[in-house]
Amino acid sequence: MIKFSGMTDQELMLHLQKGEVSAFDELYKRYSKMLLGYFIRMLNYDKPRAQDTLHDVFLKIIEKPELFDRTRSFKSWVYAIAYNTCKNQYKHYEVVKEFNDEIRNTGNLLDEKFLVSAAARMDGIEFKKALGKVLEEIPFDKKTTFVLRYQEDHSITEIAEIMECSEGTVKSRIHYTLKILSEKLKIYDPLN
Amino acid sequence: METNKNELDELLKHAMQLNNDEVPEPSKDKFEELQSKVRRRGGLKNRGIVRMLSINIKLYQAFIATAAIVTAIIVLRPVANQQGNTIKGSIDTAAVINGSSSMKHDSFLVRNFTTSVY
Repeated sequence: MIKFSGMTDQELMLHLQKGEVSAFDELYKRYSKMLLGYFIRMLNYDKPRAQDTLHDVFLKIIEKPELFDRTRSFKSWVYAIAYNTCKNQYKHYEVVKEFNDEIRNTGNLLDEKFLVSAAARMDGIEFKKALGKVLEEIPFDKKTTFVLRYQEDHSITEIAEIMECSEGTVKSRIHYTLKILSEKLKIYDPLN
Repeated sequence: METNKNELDELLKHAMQLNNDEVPEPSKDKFEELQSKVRRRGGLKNRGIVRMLSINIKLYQAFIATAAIVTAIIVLRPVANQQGNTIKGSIDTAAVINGSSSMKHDSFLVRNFTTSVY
């Protein structure tokens, strides 16, 4: 009997291409919860829609397993599918809101020290709330970049691969989000 | 500076973690639906005709096959034309020798007849 739990993602994909259900079960076990968390965040805590989107992603994997390039990382590939599926959801349901574009032009320097000290002054839940609010307001690509970096723990290189953009773009998107967060947290600055 | 960056990274990673109550278990019904899809696809793949239709063909194989077909057409085409000309020629010659008409000759006569009537 073949043991699927010890296999790499690439090997599991080979078995999935042959239509082996156990290979699919193992991949689902490894990635479903992780992806569901990503969708819940990206779709503003709409859990039923997150479940539907998760289903769509796995459906794409089942229907076109041959599209997976075995030289690439499976995790990056599956997140690239998740990113594109989510993008379509945004277009379809117009999840994206009007955002404050003025913040983009408030200078280039980001005071990391200030952010750390502001967070330290705040209650953990309060900081989390402020961060959540910022993520609800920013455009889709910037939000995705931030979520992939800090929630899903992807490296800058992996994010660039998933979103098909340069590493510089990834860095600037993160910088943008941190600047907005910094603006929001100014109220916690005692010197303000 | 670097310390601040690392500290901020850690802080953000911690703040971005979703609680267990925020992420439910993936839907069991949807999982079973997906499983049955995999099973169905696996069954189809093993069936003869579908297996034959979904055969993987490499680009060089397609190229060789196309080249072979084109060569065959080029080689056989002049032979077919020559044969056609010989047959046509022999019909006309036979018509002249026998004094009877060919189809071409008849249609010429009919056209001239129609013109003289009008």
